[in-house]
Amino acid sequence: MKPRLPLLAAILGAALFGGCNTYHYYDIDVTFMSPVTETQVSVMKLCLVDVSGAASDTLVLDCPPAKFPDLGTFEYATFADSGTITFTFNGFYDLPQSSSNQCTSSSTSKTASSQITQTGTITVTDFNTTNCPQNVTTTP
Amino acid sequence: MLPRRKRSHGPRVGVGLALLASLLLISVGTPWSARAAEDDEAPKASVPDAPQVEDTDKPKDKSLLAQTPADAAVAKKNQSDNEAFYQKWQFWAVSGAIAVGLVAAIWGSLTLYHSLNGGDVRPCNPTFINCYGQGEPNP
Repeated sequence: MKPRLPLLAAILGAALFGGCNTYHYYDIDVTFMSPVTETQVSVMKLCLVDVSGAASDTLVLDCPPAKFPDLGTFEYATFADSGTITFTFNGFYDLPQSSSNQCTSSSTSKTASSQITQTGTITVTDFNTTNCPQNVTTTP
Repeated sequence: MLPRRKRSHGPRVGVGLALLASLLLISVGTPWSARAAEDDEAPKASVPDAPQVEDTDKPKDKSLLAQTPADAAVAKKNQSDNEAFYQKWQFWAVSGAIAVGLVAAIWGSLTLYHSLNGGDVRPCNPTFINCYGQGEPNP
């Protein structure tokens, strides 16, 4: 029985103190900044965040954003603890998503590490009014 | 002149000894000779034959027939020996211990496996617009 105790202790130690998956959290805030206006943002119908690099994912945010200029903060969880993770916010005028109806794109990168929680900000500062025209109301 | 032969008495002695031995055997083997040794005893009264069902060996002393603690213990042991294995408390005790150990081992393995795979993701902050990624319910 005695020889099994060190093995059990090693397994438990590995499970508790390393060598296994550990969640890392990225709290990313999305903010619109001038010259982007609330009216412009309100025409977007699809808001996506592409996660690339050490992690890969596509996140769907509520669109059009309910708040302006600070859309809010989302949290992304991953086991990645090395490399660079890039979060790219893409706003589209309509579905399906394409480069011809893309309104805006902004990103931020974070370096994955042993740090459990990292914060970041995506600041949206440009808006393509050609791809995403404002709704025009005409009077009869 | 022929030498004088020595006279031998061997055959006569042998015959005599054989006769004496035969007489002794006969006297010892006959019943009258055995009874003769007991002739000085008083004659026994004739005992009537007891019915076959009656146990004449049964002791008159009731205390000898009363059950002793040892008898009870032996009877109990015999009874316990005759019980089926599933009627013994030891069987259920061992079975229960094995079942509890099995459940504990499975639960521990699942917990360890879950822990090795990161465990539970932390709850989503209600002030956030949403939470995504590994371990999160959102795609």
